[in-house]
Amino acid sequence: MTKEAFYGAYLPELERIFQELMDQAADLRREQEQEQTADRSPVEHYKGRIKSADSMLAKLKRRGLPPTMEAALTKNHDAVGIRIICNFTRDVYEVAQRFKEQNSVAEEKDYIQNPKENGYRSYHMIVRFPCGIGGVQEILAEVQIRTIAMDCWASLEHQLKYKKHVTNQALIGHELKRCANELASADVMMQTIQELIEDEREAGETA
Amino acid sequence: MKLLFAEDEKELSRAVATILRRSGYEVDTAYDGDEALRLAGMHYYDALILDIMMPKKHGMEVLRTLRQEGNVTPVLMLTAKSEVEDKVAGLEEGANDYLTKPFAVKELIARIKAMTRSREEMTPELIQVGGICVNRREQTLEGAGGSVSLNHQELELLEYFLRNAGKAFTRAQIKERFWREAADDLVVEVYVSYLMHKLESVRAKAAIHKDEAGNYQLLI
Repeated sequence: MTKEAFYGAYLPELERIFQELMDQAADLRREQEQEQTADRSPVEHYKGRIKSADSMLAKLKRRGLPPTMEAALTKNHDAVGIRIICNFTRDVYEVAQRFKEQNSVAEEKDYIQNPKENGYRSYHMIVRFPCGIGGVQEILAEVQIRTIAMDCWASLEHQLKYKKHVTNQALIGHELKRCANELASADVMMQTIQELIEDEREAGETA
Repeated sequence: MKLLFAEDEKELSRAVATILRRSGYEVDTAYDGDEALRLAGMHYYDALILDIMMPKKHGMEVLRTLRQEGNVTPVLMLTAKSEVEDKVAGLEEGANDYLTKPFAVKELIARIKAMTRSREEMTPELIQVGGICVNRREQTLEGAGGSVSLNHQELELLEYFLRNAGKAFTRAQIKERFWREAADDLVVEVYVSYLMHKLESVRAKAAIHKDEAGNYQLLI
């Protein structure tokens, strides 16, 4: 089924919301590029999508929801999704703060402070956009903000989730968790080094 | 635990090996230096007991060869001589301990135990304090906010802070203890910073503080 067929009259709305979020990310990235300490853009890259009909139907089925566009837009929150990748953990929070200032946030989940059991780390925000077409008052969109390391891990974990090798599942899960720990360690260390460099630079500038 | 017992006096070898086996050790015996080297090369042993006076190759030669090959298995030398020079020579060649004949097997066993007592036995696998759990085997730091890996250096340093909670250390003191060979003490600042931030990231109750004088202190 095509997106047009599934989302119907709401597709233009979704595209508008999608573009709005992508523009916000682009602005953040552009803004940092123009700053004096320009080698420090908090947004490394960003990407987004409107969920395909197939993916949405599969997700609705998984969640035990009716396979309708209404359920997709009102009971689910990632018909529109954008992912922002940052260099350092501190940047993730900076970007999150900026998004909060510019949008109406329905919910926030900090999986960096509270990683999932399997090791997943990211910052999730559910942003609401007014709609007013038909019976839908508002449409929710999901913003995921994470570091490069977290993104790399999440992609791999995603592969595991959708391939069920019953025998290896436990061992691979355990080793994935170990990777998550090591990547988290690297993130902390890189942040520390970055701050040490910044301190030295500032000290040098004021001296 | 598996031992290699190299002694050319067969009666003595049989007697000692029997007692060692009864004490729970697995024992391989060798009656000359060549055989000792051959077995040491083929199997993993937790400790080697080498008589100095052996035919074909004497104990010191065997020891020297093993150490040159990079074999770090604990070695206890046996000898009929009790000259200080021999003891010193053996220990300097890389032996871990020395026993002169005649010896009580009880003492031999006690020395084997002391020699093979691993660092891991002496320090617990888990350290749980200050809202965190440090797992030495997995090399992880776990707190209310998830877990993060620690490299070997961080592990040693964190353990040191935890064991000395409340005590303030200067950068020089930490450098002396862990980075004696380093060119300067900046590495201490870097590693303490790593630990500070890793503790924060897992939301530990324990935290490392730096005072105006630049001293570091872990508080729980």
